[in-house]
Amino acid sequence: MVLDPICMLLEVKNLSVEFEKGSKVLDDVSFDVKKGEMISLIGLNGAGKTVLLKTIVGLIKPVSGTVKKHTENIFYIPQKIDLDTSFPLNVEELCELFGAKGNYKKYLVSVGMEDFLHASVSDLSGGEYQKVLIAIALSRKPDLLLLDEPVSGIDVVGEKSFYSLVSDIKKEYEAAIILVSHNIHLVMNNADKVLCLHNHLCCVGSPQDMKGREQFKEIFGEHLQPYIHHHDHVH
Amino acid sequence: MTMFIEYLQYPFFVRALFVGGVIGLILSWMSGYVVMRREVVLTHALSHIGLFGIALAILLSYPITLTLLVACLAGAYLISGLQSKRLFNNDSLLEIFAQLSLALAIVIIAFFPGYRINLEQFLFGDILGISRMDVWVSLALLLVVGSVIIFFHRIFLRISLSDLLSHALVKRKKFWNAVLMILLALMIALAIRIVGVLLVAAFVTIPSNTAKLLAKSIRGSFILSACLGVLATFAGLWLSVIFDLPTGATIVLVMGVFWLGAVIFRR
Repeated sequence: MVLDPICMLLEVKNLSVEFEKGSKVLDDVSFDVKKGEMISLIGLNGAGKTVLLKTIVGLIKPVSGTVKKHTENIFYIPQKIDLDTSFPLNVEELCELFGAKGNYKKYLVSVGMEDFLHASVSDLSGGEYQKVLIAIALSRKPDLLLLDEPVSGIDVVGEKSFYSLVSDIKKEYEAAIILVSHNIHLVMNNADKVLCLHNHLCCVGSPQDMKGREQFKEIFGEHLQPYIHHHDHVH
Repeated sequence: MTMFIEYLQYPFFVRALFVGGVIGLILSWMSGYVVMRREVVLTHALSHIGLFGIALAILLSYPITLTLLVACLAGAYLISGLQSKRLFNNDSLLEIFAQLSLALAIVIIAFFPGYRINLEQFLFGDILGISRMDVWVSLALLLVVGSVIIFFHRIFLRISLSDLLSHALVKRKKFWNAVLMILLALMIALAIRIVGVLLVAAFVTIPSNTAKLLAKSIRGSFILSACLGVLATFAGLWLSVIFDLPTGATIVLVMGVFWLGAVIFRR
């Protein structure tokens, strides 16, 4: 199928990254992202998920391959924020600094964080922090939002409501989303496309397609249990 | 206090107040960026590179202030280039520069029989020996560095607060990191004249770490840090004159008292 170039936001082609010579963290990864598409990126710890997102935004240089961006309006929300929280930074200041000026308050409302405007960033829980960062990202109206394990600091209940928020964002703001997650059940419910990464792309497809694939079953099991990647198949 | 007012009649003391105030103001403001970036060791490295510049100036009979400035800028450029290659941990890289510069300076200075006398004013500062030229240089710095900081504070704050979040928002981030490094190198080169190589890092470390304990916002912490820097410089000068103490060390000790007070207040 030939993709409409107007809808295409990102084309990743034959991307390889290595930190030590001969040891590839990403090996020949290729995929694309279209407007409004929700992509789940799954894989074990050390599979290269964060490296892939950082390479897309330009924080890491690939040794080969290309990342063709059809938009510059890409917002990356990292797994761990490198903020020095010993400074007296409140939510309002953080939003004013990184969000779109005068626009972020309505997005704080949409993520349910309007009452935290004057709260200190250091007092926020993991989930609250992620919601503030999402409000900041939305205020800049991104075409593509990269979320790196956004639910890692959130409990099970919070995790569900967080995914429903991400779903709403996709519908309401038509932003394409690449979401890194460990929770296979929620990933399968919400994604348009699933990328399974283990330094290379093991398999790619819609959640329904993936369930039927032998490679996917090998990794996640028949009943989509939290997975152990045996990685004994040949690529 | 009377003694302090009496001293205001002396041009050397007024020059010391002016130049000390300007450097205290700008460096203490920049202290916020440096502490946020966890790059306090950078100040340490740049000050030692400054000492190497001084030694080189003595060896080659070059103008000291100019050579000091060039050495600090060249050091900042080299450090910045190596940082971007990510071959070393940042603290290791900075400490390597600090120690190698110090070793080089010591070896160069050993060639001169009277080196200890020449060196003392640079190791411990000589704020009361500031010339008219230094006043003009400080005024120019206040205008240039001060303007750059005021106009681009938002950018500097973004890149200092979060490397990851600022990536999408700050275009040409490498350029802005380099600008910040150059401004810091310039200010450190000049501050060496006041508090000396051994104590200059205090100007970039203590004010911001005091202000963040007391301020209610980031903006407030920057303003308070700058005010504390100026206040400590003036108070240190005053005390050093009254009690006949080494000026640079007295300024740093006043900063230390402010910091201790803030720690006790926060408890």
